[in-house]
Amino acid sequence: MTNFLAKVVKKLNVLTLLAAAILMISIAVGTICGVSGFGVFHKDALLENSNTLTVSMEQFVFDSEDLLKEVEETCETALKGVSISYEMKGDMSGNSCELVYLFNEGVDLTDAKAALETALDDLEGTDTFKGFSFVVATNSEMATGILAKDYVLRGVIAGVVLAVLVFAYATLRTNLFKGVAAGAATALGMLLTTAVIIITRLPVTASVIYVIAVSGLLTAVLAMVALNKIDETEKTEGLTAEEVVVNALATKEILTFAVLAAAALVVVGAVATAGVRWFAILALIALVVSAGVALVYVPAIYLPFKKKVDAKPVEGAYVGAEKTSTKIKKIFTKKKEEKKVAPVVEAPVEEVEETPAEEEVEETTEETEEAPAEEVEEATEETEEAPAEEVEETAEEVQD
Amino acid sequence: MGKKKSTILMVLLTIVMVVLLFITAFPTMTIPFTDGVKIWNPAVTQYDLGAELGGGYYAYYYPTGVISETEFKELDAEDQKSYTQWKGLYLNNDPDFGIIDETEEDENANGIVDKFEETFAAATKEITARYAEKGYSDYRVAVVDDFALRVQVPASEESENMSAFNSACITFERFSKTGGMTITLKGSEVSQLEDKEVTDIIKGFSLYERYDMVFIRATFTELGKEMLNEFAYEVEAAKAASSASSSSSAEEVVLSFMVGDEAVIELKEDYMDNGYLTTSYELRYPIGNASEKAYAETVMILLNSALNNAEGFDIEFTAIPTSAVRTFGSIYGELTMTLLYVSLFAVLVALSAYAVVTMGKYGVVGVYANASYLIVTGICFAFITTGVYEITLGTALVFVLGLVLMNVIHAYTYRAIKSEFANGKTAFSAVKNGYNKNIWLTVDVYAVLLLGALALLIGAAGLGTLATQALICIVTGAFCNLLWTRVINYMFLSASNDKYKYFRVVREDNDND
Repeated sequence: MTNFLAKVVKKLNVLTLLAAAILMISIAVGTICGVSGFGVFHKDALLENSNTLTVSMEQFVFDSEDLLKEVEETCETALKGVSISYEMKGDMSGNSCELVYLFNEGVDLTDAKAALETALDDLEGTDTFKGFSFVVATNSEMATGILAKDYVLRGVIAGVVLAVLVFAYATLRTNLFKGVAAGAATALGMLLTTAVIIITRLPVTASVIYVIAVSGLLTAVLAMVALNKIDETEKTEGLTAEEVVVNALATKEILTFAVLAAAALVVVGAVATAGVRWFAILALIALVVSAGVALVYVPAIYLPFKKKVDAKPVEGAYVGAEKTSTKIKKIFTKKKEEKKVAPVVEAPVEEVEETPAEEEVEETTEETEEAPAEEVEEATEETEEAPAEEVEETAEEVQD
Repeated sequence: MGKKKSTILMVLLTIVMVVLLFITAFPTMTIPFTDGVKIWNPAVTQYDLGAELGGGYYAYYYPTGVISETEFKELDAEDQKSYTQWKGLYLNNDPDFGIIDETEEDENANGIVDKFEETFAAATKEITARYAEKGYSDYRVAVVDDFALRVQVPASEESENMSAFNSACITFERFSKTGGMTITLKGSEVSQLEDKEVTDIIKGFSLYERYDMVFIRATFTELGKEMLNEFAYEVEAAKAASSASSSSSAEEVVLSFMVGDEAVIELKEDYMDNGYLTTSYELRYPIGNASEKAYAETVMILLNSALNNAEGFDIEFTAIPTSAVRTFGSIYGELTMTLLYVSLFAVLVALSAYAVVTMGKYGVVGVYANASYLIVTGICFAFITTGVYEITLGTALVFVLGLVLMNVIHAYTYRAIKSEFANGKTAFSAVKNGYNKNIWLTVDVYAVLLLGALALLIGAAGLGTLATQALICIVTGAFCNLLWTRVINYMFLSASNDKYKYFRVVREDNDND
């Protein structure tokens, strides 16, 4: 898997196109469904227009566990052909209470109502329910208010501020480019989570905003884990930008968290009731998207910045004594050629040793004022060696 | 730390944690052999729950002349003739109610008076806006069969003096008012309203809190100040007349702010003395102590709504008696909270078992950390309140993810400690270096989460509440990972016979240790 990810993170263009495609598809699906009346999100019956079927009964029946259970079973049998979204038990302090069944807007309740009225009439005729009466009513509901004032606007602002704060923190902790990667990944995590929920048309309640908010937090955390590992890997010298990013893939760390968190959400979804189960599925989507963005997009966004920084050293920066060594070599080569042209005859060895060597050393030391110590040593060794060789040659010539 | 001392501390810590766990999460039970408290309720049963988890209340708003099918069937045959069926509702035929159009002049040709339809639509919009302003995490306002409303709110607004049910009843009743705002002095409309609007007198209403009290604050314009001066003059005149004649039958001077026919704020003579009217002409009308903030908010929203719709709506909704307000349980089923607690407990146990299996005795430190996390978050969720503070599915999500994150960081720390052992470090040195190695990762993770949760505080209603709950989970997790596990580990390690076996490390005894 690491090999596959190593290839993927190098292809930022493809990843950008993928993210853009998901976002565009979600916008298209949301627009089409919104215009058609289905809503941008596939809203649960609690958020949408709905039909209701209300069974009113006396308080005594409602308060008796056995009687109420029998009434509920009768209702569920009569309503077998229609899909019930929710059941609410409306307890009142007066003389009557009610059972309210919520259905999606498109459900026709005419036949269901008739069947239920017949079933309840039969129930009224039994000894257990003698003297009690039931009233069945159907209504349509058009939801006009489900969200607090400025709920969506303030949620969007909070999301933007979240991404900016993550960018600011990562920049202060590391550097600007890692900050950009963290901030962009956080925003992308929230957007992609929203997009996937819209595309998959999973039923949502008002709790969907919690899932989107938590996806932002998760992406930010996992992005910091990924950047932390990149930071550590950058301390190793001699690696290219690609090698740093590939070696720093926080696959194990992110996947460990993702797998454990997914297992926890599966346990919650498996044990809890159906409504909670849908929420757990949405949370699982947020987790997968956040882990994917942190694992793939964070290094992919950072890589081009890293390459640019590595390729272009800072102007005026000291490169090193390599330059000095080359210069010294040129000087020695020139001096050597000059000495071959005009050989030294009467100069004593000591003088030969001293004058040119000292001069050369002085020149060398002047030239190597700023050179590192080892480079100066190399240069002085070279200057000592060179005149020594020349001295030997000169002495041989003199002897000859 | 010596072995004896650390063993004693471990035992004490364990006892304290068991007691706190009992207080936080032990199931509800009846306490036998007591005259006082009969039922034990742990902290987790005292949460204010959102509608999805804990249910709430709902009521119907019927305009005068509109009744439900249930009410219709309770009428005798003669009375039933006065009504015409409209979908699931019954509308009164009497022209005085102005609902049924028998002249067939209505534009929609649906037999309903156009004015009634328009007025109902306008009133619906305003009532919906009131509930939106209230900031419930989870509510619903729906039009029922075109000419009635069903309003549903969560069961969360409890205060010292009022149960959640009574609070909901008051909200339903207050928000059903459709009258506009007027101001009267001694029963007659103030002179300033003869040629001006109420908005020319009052700028707006807001909440004001001081000295553990909550007030409705009204801010006045220059014209409003003129009106208050007139009120002050009348009060002085009445006092002078009263002391001169020494008679107590003088008419009380009252400045009333009316919504429809009801006086919502009444400014009396003593308000001048009590300082509720400040020298800068700002009225601070006391509602009650700080725990009544939710009710004060309801009144403030109503006043602002009436101020901005001074003419009111030519429609009235039938009064909603307490007996007509319905209570409903969790829409996901009665067992929702029980099963949710069971699943969260299963996650906690699974993570603790995973820690012990993978990390040995060091994993036991993780078990204590998990218990501490549960205790702190459980108690904070129950006893830190900021007005409407509801536990929702989002709360469960941040709790679970925070718990998993804490365990994962604990596992990273263990891995770091083991790598220090591999470098030949001693036990305590390895622990110290292991924690230090991981510290920046831990700090980064929790710092980013903290900043994120602070950003989410900008969100409205449930999102703002989720942010507060996330802050609690984040601070608790950071405390456990950065400090608490280190303390517990130090105690356990000090008491351990074989410090290497404690971390599941095989090493020969070294004299230098």
